[in-house]
Amino acid sequence: MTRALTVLLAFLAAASGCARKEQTCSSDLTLCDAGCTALATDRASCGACGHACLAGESCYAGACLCPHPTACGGLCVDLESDPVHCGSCDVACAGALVCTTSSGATSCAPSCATGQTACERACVDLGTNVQSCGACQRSCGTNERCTSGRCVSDLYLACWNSDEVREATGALAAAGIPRPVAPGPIGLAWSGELLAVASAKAGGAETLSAFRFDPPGVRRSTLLETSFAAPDFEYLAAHEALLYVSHASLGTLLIVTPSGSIVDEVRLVPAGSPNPNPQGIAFDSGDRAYVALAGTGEVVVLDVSQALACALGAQSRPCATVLARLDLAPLASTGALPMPARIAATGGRAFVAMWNLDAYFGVPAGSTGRLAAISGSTLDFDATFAGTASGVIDLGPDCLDASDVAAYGGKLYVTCGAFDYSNYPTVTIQGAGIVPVDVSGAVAKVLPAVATPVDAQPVAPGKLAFCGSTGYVGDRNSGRVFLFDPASGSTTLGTGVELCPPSNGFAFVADIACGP
Amino acid sequence: MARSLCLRRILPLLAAVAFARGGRAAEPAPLDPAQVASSAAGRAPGLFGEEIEIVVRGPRRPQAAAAVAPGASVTVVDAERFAGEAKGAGAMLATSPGVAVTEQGAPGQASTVSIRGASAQQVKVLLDGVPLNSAAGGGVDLSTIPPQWISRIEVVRGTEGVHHGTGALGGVVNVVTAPPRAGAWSASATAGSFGTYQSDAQVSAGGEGWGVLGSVAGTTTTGRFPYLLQDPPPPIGLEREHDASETAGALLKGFAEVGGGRLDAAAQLSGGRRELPGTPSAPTPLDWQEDARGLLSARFRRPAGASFLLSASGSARVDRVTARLEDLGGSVVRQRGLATTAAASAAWCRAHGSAEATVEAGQERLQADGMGDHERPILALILAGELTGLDGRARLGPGIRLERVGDARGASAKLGGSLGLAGPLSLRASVGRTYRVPSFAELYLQQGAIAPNPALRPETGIGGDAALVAEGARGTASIGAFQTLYDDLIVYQAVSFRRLAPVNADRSLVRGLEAELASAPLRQAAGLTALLAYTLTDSQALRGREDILGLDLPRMPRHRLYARLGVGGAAADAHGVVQYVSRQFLAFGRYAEIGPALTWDAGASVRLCRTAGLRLHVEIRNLLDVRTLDDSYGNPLPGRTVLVTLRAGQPPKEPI
Repeated sequence: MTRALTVLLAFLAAASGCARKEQTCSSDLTLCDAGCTALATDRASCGACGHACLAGESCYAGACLCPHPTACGGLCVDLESDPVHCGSCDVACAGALVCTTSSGATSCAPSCATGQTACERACVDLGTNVQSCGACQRSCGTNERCTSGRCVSDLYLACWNSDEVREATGALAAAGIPRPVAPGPIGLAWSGELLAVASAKAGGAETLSAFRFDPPGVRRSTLLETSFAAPDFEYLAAHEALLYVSHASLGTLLIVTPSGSIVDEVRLVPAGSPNPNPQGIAFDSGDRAYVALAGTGEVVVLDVSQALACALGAQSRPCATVLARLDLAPLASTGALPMPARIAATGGRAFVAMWNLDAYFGVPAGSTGRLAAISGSTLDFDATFAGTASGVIDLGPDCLDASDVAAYGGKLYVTCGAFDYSNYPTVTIQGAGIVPVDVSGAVAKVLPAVATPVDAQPVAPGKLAFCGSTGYVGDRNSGRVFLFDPASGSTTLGTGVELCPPSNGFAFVADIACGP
Repeated sequence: MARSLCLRRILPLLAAVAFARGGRAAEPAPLDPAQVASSAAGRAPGLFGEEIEIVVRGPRRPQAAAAVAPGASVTVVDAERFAGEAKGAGAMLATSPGVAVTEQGAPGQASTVSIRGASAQQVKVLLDGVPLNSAAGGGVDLSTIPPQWISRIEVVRGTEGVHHGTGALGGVVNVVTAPPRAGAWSASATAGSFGTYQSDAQVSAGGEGWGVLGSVAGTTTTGRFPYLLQDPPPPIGLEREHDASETAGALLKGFAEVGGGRLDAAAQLSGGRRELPGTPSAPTPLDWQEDARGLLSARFRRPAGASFLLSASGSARVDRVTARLEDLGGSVVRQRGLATTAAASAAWCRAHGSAEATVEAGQERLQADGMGDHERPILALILAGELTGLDGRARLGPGIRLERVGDARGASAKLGGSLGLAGPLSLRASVGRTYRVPSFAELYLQQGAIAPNPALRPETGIGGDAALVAEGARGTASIGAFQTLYDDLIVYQAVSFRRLAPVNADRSLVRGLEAELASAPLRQAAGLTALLAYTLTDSQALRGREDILGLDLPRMPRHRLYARLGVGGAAADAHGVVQYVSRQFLAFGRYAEIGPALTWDAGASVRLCRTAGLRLHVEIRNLLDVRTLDDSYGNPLPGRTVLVTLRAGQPPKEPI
């Protein structure tokens, strides 16, 4: 018996030797000893695994370069604070003197100027210095900036395919290093100093995680994780210190604190009803949340004024109540389902982008892009403002499958583009572009569309974010992000930059958040 | 004298033919003493099917016909052990180690089986040896097999491509229907919870060298049961709606000694309609499915001299599925499948070895909405053999199968062996490799959010196992270890916006221990019997992100236990069952944990009338009425379920 058991155990041990693990990385990362590495921007492995940049250097396109204009003896130094090269090369501060710059003048001094901290006799502003951001010697990543002691970027991108959050500058240069998150990042939202990320993908879980960017380094924590057979978070929004998640697997609206506690999970239809497939969420100035229900073709308006009190324990559930429910079916094209998806609230109204597709997400013949206008005062369709009897704003055939809607400068901007799979594997995109709608007057006015660039890989504009005065458009057909200047009057989008890497030949910029 | 398995198959056949030619009254073929000694339950082993019925009942689990492959890891679930308990194929399979059954809700709803971590699609399910796996893909729905037909279920674990063709990465499940027994008949009627009614009737006739069996069966249920919806909180008591199903089937099979050999033939027809309720968070109150399956099979075998056994067989299977699916915008989609196979084999049998060559040819055809009309030929050459030594204590069986399925060519191989150690102890082990050709759905289906990928490669499985087996008058017991490496696994990933397509992406390792025990009734202890199956599984993702590497695969609990104790005898009996499944995760990377589940079942029966074998059975599933169970796919499972069965038959069906 003992011999037989020994044989069994030997068999298991021998067979285990065949099991070779193979870590996979995003297509633009390289597997180094430390894991998947962005050789283009990682200071610890710049251009090659293990090739670390020297102190003060950053990694640009795989090369270690000095971000300062001056190098002393081949070393990358900051003449404004380096105690060995204080003001100019080889001017060293004697003894305990520190090197400080005040009012444009650099000198050796007994102490740092007001607001500065001595880091090994180099006086720096920990709130803004990229080499000592928030703490001495805490260097920010390539193309990151130091804001309030946090290493941050201008843009944060939810790269759905590669399961990462990536950073970029306002000029669309890659920044920092890719941050892995739970599979399928679909939504980003700032809650105070936290960047919350909602993730869900088949084969994964529903995860709400958050990044902190203050010292000692970028940290990711899991706020919430739920287990369902068909994980499906669809949208993430922040409002009054709380996070709101479209929980499409259950057909509910999830209200969560920044620490991950569930304040309430609001049923959007009665239990046992078909799943409403909640999508976009928008808040107006009156503590009302508008939630698009693509499954039932409705928009529900919720009073969330008590949600914060709920979170603080001063109010019991329900923390949100339904104020109105609007059926968008009459607003859809003939043969189409309304499929309301994204909402923007501005000027006392809510505007709902409708996919307006058939059940296969195909475009019915003769359909057009559609936007529903809802009055914040009557909580009904605003036919007068829309200029139509039903309250629909017709965006025309140049805008099919309206994807996102965002407000800026008295205008709405709607991104569009419908995927045509009828000749699969050849995929074409119809009605792609960005359609501005002037909503500053008494009646909405649809303006000429901004066309997508003619490219070997067609563009399907998706997520739209305005950071400062610049618009950023994520592609649903690649990992590219496009700059969009609403003031330029340009009729065509410029060339995009691929910031999310593809897998299986596909990438999708699911969300864009402006940096702090 | 020890004989090879091949010879053990040929001897009874020769004997039966001799009896038929001699014009004697039909009776069971005389047993070869060596055959009785080598067959745990006195059943002559053979290829899948029940060609020679000798002794059906016994104190231990019967040996599987599938054990023609030496060293194979096999469990035979004898349906007569559960006679009268209104158990479906899925519930019976749960008594085998290495097996996980997913039952999607109430009786009558779909259930699928996976073995050793393979998906349901990677398990080959046969009905009397005829594959039920459709070229469309997906696992076989066990609920489409009328449970009343089942005589036994043979579970062959491991990469079993040599004998059963591509697709058996995890193993093979062969559902064997009841054999014709001259003069036997049975009938039963069941009524139970949630408007569940079942009934069946079987009758056999036989004569000199022939036998025939006819059976009809039907089941209906409203499927309406109460459950607790826990998400989102607070829990709400709901009733499962739109969950009804009706199924029916007819079976006609028989055998005849003709032309110096034996001809077995069967015709099966089954079908049904079921409502598709969806999950509580995404109900589909208008969805439904209708399915129908027709199956014809025949096999003729005859000996050629004392050393050769010639065999020819053929089968045809027709599948029709029509469904209304909300996910497809409420469209009604149709799928029509046809599969035909013909095979011829010659076996050369000697006392210390055998060799067998088989040629198979077939065709799979599928016409389906979203897929178009596709067909592909199947050609296979199988060479297998067996060497017997050490006075029959050692057996070694190599085998190889060269196969072409459509454009995909591949080889499956297996080497197994067994060694008698001492007394009732023996050791068996096997290693093998096989593959699964992509299904038509994976290659061609363009429907809803699914896109096809014609460039897919076959998935492969390489595995081995070894076990220590004890077989004796008091029962059988075994403990073994296994390991299977699955590579080029086909998974659905995003390939475009709102579109998923299958790609060869995953690699995983599943290993573990399997233990089982089946005891004979202990007369000194009121006929106490025990049945136990335990599986320890260690699964690992071998390809992927750093945070999932080496961690559990989804829905792969570490421990799975089935234990059953029974007492009583012919007059009355009772049993209790406990099933335990440890925690599992719904997603890679140990995300989304589902806690452990413990369920209790119980049952009892009493003989009402000796002459007609009339017996009353009561079965209670989920005894503690836990209403929060689900199938880990979001479908709630019923709480306490009571089923009462009145059963009669000749010879009487009594518990073992």
